[in-house]
Amino acid sequence: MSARAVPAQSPPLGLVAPFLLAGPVFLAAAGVLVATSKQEALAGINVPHTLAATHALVLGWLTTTMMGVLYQMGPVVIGGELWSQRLARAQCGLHVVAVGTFVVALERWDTAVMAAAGSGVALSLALFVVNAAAALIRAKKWSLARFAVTLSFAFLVATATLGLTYALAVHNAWFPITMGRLSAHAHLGLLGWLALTLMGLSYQLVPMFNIASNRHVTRGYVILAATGAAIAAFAAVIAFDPPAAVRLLLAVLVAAGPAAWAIDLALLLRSRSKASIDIQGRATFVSLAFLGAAIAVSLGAALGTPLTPDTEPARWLLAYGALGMLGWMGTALAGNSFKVLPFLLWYHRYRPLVGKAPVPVVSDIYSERAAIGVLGALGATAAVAAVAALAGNLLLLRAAGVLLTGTGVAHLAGMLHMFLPKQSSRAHQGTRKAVTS
Amino acid sequence: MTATTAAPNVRDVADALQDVFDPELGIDVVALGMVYGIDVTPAGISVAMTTTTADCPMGGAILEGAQQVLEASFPGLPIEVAHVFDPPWAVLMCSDDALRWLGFDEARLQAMR
Repeated sequence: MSARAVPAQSPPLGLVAPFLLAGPVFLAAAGVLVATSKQEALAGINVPHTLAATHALVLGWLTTTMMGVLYQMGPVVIGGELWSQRLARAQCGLHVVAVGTFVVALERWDTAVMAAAGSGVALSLALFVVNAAAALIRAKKWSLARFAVTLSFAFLVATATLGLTYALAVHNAWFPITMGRLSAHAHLGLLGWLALTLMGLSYQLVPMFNIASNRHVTRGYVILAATGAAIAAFAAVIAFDPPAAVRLLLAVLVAAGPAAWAIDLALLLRSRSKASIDIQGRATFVSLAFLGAAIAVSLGAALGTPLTPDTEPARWLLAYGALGMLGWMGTALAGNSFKVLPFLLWYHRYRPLVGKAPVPVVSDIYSERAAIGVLGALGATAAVAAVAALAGNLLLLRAAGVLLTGTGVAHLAGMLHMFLPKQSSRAHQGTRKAVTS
Repeated sequence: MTATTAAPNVRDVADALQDVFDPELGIDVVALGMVYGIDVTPAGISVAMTTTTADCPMGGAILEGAQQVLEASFPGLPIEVAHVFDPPWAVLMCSDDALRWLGFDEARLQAMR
């Protein structure tokens, strides 16, 4: 079987890069919000300041970065074209402005602006889904990534619909936003949208970057489908504020899929042919460790009162959020962003020069040391924030906020550094003859 | 990447392809064992090569790079680079030095060979 060489397809750098650069800015902003936390942060996760920090992290950092990753992965890995590149550029601007305004409105608890900016966020998410879903529809073959992202888009629509409804409900006093309703919204977004996307993409990227063969594709489909079903069931039941025993059962149910995926991924990494691991591999290992910790703490958070003082019931929930958002998804996404942007830069800047001049390889474009630094700082922040929350130590929580701000700035600097002109590394040139026998 | 004026042979083409790197792994395609066949005739140069996976995001760019390198090295000669998937690429196809570059130690190399 043979085919004529066809030029690789990749979206323009100017389409994807703004999403990846805006993400760390929101990370730093979330750090500022955590660094200025008040004692009330330990009393409830539904206080304005905590809601603002959470949305800066989830909508601002994780979602914006994931959008950039998917605008890249849609054509390159899943195999379909976006609906409109111009729409993607416009959506980036809308998203950044709407999310920024929404976070500020949450912090000030300005319900009118919350409703207006929330509508802008919902519109941005809708435009993103329409645009990126075209890549899913146009793809020629099914893959674990395509399946997972299809599911995750359904969850993103559900999350945005609930979120907008809540924003309007708060402004118009339609109905109270109970902890159960808030939990349903949060888990649809964090697990249904972000985690499922991450899980599906990892099934495709981890074997690719580490030269491993995934021989258990069917198992992957089962894990992803079961995870999706568990999240839907979780959200449907938790919204009605069930008792602790039911919450615990739901926590076990919803954790089973990611736990099985983690084991699957660890086995995949163990079978890799590439002995050395790069930043993406390191990030995968770190993120899996945090997933384990997040699952353990989630069970405590589900139990509630027996573990948490009545005056500070948010402790375990905050720790769970820190481990899940920063530790698991954050480190994984940060590691992947150190692969996605260099790939784009290499593709658009250096690919045309192959055969005409020495060109750098992808690893020459980013600083491995800086990438490991960002990964380490993010992991340390997640751990400090979790310990601070569990111990009810406000000072330590604020310190985690300062660390988070520094991590966001360092991450942004690391990304911007990639744009500087790069030369082929000496090691790569020096080994040219050595590796050719 | 020096242009050759004399009629090339298979060795010349293989040498030229050593300037084509998998940009992700940082190893040239010859050492990676991705070049399955080279055919040099008066009518032109045909190369059959593969990529680490069929859906490798860099696959198209690597093949395009091979085309560009050969066109620059052998100007005027028609070049055809075909993407083949049979047999699928496996890490065992790498040269020993390429495997060392991938992080394999001597014990693992011995076990593989």
